[in-house]
Amino acid sequence: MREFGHLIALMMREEARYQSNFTSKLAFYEFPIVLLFSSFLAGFFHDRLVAASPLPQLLLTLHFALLLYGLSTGAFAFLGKELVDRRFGNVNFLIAAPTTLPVQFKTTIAAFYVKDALYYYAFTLAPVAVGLALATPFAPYPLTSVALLFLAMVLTFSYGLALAYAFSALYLRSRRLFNALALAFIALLVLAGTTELVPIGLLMPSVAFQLTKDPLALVAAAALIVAFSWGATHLIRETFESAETRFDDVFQASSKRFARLGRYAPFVAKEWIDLRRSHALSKMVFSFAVPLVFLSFSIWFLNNALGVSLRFDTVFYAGNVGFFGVMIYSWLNHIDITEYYDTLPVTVPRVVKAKLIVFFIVTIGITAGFVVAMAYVNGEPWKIGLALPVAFATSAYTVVATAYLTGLRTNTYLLSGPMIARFGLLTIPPLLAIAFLSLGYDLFPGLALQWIGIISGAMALSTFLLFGLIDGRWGRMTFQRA
Amino acid sequence: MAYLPGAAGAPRGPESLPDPIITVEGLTKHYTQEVALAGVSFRVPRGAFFGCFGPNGAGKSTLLKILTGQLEPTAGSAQVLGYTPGRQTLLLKHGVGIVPESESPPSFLTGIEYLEFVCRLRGIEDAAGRVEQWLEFFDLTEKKDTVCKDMSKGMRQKVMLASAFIHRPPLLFVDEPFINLDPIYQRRVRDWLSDYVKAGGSVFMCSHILEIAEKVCTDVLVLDRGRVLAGGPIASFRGNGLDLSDVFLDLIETKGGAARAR
Repeated sequence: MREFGHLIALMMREEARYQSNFTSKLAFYEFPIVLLFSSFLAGFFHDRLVAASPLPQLLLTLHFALLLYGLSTGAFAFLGKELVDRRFGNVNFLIAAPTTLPVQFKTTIAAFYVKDALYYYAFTLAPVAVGLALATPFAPYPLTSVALLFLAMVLTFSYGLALAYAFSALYLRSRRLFNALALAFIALLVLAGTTELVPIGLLMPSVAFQLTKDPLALVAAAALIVAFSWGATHLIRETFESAETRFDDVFQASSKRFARLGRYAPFVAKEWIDLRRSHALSKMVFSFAVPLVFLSFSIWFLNNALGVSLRFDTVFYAGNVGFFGVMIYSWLNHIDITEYYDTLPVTVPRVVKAKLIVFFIVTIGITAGFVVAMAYVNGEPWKIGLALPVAFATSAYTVVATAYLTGLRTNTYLLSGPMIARFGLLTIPPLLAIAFLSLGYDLFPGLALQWIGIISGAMALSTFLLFGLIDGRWGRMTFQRA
Repeated sequence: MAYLPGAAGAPRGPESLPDPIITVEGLTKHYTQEVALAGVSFRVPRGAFFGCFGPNGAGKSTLLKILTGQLEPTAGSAQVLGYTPGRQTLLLKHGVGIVPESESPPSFLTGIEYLEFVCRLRGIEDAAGRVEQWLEFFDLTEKKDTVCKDMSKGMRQKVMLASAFIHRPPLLFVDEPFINLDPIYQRRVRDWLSDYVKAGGSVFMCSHILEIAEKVCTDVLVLDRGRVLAGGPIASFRGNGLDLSDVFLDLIETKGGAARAR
């Protein structure tokens, strides 16, 4: 147990050094400061927030967001397989220790899981709680309720993390069992939303604990987290089969297929081959479509199961597509190393732009399909003509802004405080404006339509501007640093 | 030699290239807490097989990265093929071949696809013929359809070597080119590099394998802790019946030791 603790401590140090390798040490710690400041403001303006939306609704929305956050970051079981299947250039991590040292993969992956959980508690959840606590002299809530909120947030986030860990481990063991259990879980959620057969507190005890302060709910939440984590760890295999993979030469044919892209053709062809052979294409489509469906489902769930009154129209959903595009662009940067480009006459902007082109090829159909589907679900097919341009403009603008700011290391740079601030400044105002205008569309359609058109046009123009500015920002950067 | 695919010749005739082909003046590189290079100056004559030696941490790879535009120096200047690395990196990379110490080719392309990709980027017209030649040279034909991530270290090294040689550049930068190769391919690459230099090419090599270096190098530079301990034609290092290993160890212990003591 002492060794396990020591391993976690070493991994924490490793993570901090790796992240601060690309940003400054100071920038690494600025992200929690930004969070702290934001939550302080939320605490300071508590009364106004609660006036706009009742506290239970705010709390439920927060817990759903945390569950989604945990789910999106917790697929740890894939890590072991990734280590065997992929090369990470010169970078090696402690999690790979079992390849050379007498320690089990189960142990290092479990340590990695605990390390990541602690890392998120310390750098994401704790700053939020501290910010709220610092606002107590100006807010009507006591310190004890901040402590209760922190505990409930930790439980909800950990629950999402544990669920994703367990499902990813199960996926590697048995696809059939994974499909069956995933379907069962979704069915339970639907049942909880439509009937009273399954109380929501049973599926998410941390939410029950937040709302009722029942110690039994606290114990149930903790027990579920431990059970999922323990089960996932025991499902981890010690060896990963990595058969030699052979493919026919398709590079020339793929280059011809993208020939009209000119100088980007070989890069897009290469990225496209990478996507297919790494099976990332299906994962990306899945990762893009699932959060969109989950967002729609969450709103439906909040409306139906929890009585939170939220009504969003098709244009609102169209505006949200851009946000999920950031995740897809980040995925594109994770498929493979790029350091070998340093030996070739290639610049970083050329590769960044090729990845952006691939992003649009992959997502254009899903974006259009989602918007059209939401228009019919909402009974607003006449809004398709407005929602589609909004979806494409927000998606293009958000992702090109991300590429401009973060180059080829999106995940790492988006952990830096100043970068998050710049990203927020560039993307949040237009997205918020679209969201508010969409909410007011039915009240004053003429004005809303006019301003949605102006903002979407401005985003489209800014997209071209930022696309051009990528050259100046990343032109002299090497692939080892970009 | 049957396995020598077009070693002779370069896009520009060797006589049109600057001599010295590399000029370095007072090159300095500071990392946050250490000095990787401290005022390094030297010249590499055109047509030289130039060996850069030194113990671990001497600054060899940092020097190679600066000369190929992968790192910015803190101070000093360098000219490679008449270009300034960092400012004219793209032009420079069109003119040279680079084999890094430990970089791998892209994971999900096969060997043949990566070489085709490199040919596209370098604007090589007879790509199919050149790719075929190099696959045969490194005996990769049988594994040409295997994705690079599933290749052994040695095979990945062969793909990286082929990708650096395929455009017949006038200057090659090679960092530990023999390290993952078996003795047969160490010999084969060594012989190819020697013939390449005889045909007018120039090589800048960092290596620890002094036995091979002694056989091929025309000029050497010995670095320790970012400082030049010695440099010049290899003939000037031989004498008193000593081989390059003896001279190298002696230099590190005497001059390097003195520098450390200071």
